[in-house]
Amino acid sequence: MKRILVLMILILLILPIFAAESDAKPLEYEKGSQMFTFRFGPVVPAFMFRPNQEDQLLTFGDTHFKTGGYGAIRYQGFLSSYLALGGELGYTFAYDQSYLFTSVPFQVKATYLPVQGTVELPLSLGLGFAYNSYEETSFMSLLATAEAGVSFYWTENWGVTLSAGVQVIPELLLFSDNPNDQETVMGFMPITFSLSYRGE
Amino acid sequence: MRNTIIHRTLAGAVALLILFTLSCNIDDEGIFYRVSISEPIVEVGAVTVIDFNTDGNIIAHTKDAGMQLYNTATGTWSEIAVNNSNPIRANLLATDATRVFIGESAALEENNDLYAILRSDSSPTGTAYNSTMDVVSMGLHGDVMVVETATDFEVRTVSVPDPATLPDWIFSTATYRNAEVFAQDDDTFLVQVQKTADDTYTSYLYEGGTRYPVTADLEHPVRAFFVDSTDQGIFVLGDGSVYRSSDVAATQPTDTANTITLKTTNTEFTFLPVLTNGDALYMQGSANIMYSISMTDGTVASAEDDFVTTLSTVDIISYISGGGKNYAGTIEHGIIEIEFASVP
Repeated sequence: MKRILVLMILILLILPIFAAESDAKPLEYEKGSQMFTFRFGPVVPAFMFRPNQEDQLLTFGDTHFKTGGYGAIRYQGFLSSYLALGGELGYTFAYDQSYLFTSVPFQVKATYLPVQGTVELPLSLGLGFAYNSYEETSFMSLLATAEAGVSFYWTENWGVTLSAGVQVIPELLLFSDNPNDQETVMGFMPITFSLSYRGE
Repeated sequence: MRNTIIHRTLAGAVALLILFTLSCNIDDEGIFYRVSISEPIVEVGAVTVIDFNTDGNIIAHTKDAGMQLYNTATGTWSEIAVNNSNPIRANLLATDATRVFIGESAALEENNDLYAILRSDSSPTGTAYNSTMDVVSMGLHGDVMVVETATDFEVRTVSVPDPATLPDWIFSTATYRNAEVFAQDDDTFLVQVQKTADDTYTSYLYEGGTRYPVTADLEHPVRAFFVDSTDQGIFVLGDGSVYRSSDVAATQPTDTANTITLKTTNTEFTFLPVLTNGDALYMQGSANIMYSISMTDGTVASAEDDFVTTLSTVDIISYISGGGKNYAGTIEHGIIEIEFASVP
């Protein structure tokens, strides 16, 4: 995972060199502007909160998850010059000590862009669902996400973003026959590299 | 305007309720909880636990790493050197009071090389024991085996492999095939044969030195059994039906009409392990579901003890109990200690 992070940071460091040589004109967002994004990167198991267990909070490796991966596509339209709203469909995978966990999150995502231009700072909040599978069990859960990133646009339309955030997946067992002592809130931390196209 | 707001609020509330309901896991076990207690894959492959050595460590057969000694205190493995030329077979494992017996593969109708491992050794090794018999099955937790001769299947003790020790236990190979022995201990084992003419299975129980019929000419073989200290016996057949006898020495087991869903195995007569705790007989079924069978009346339920959750992520092929502790040998996860929350 360290290699991937180093690679992403290097890409972001190198890109301004090309920017200096480009005569890209920053796009000015307005209502109706659009953005299409491909995303991928590692996903770190950040925390696992088990309110009814003796060890309530497990973090990183103690969750028994290993670092996995996340990929997604996102489309957003601008409601104003600073706020974009859209949807993101993704795929998360991570191994525990033996088996593969997968999740297909789909969410409504709002992004606020307080800094715009060649370099941007997107701040996003998302809410939706995730279809989670592990061994022979699957269930649909709520999903909440938050993330922040740094974007660099080397042309008026094309740019890359390095972002980090948290995906929270609560697992409720309200309708299970057994007591709810296994209810858990899982927090993944995706660190993603994105390629975006923006336009009017 | 006011009605519109009310309608939108109600619609929103209903939508949220539906979304909230949809977002619940209705299975009995939480995915993330199971991940948090998941066990790592152990590289030795499928583990058949055989017996304890003097130090309380477990002598085990492993699919990928041969014979191994599992240190129960540290969870580490060490090889038990056996000078075998062919792989040790998982169904050729037996014990007596002082030794573990293991048998290596051999060509059809050829004799098997047997080896003995002294349980009193802290660092045991396997030594050649016998290579004069065509052994087809050995009782994992007992001193018993089935030997095929030119004309018969003979049940013999491994420690004294003389047919005279069990003279009543001879089945003609002209009539039967697939002879198997399952041992609970030295004094309790079950021998099963399949009739060549119609493929039906017949089984007998050895209990306290006497032979008792269990099943006769049934379509399905016995896959698991246990006889408790009061001679109550539970027998699980290949179709999942549970047979029970209140006293195996007095009455032949009968169908309780209770069933479990068995896990898939290589053969239709592969022995499935069981574990006991008080009145409960535990048996892992399909999809790793742990069933609890009552010794008292043969009723079947999904076990709800805390240990079940841990074992729901592993595939168990053997158990061993001793010194107040219980261990499971698994297909991918090595050996796992089992702790019961209570005695039913």
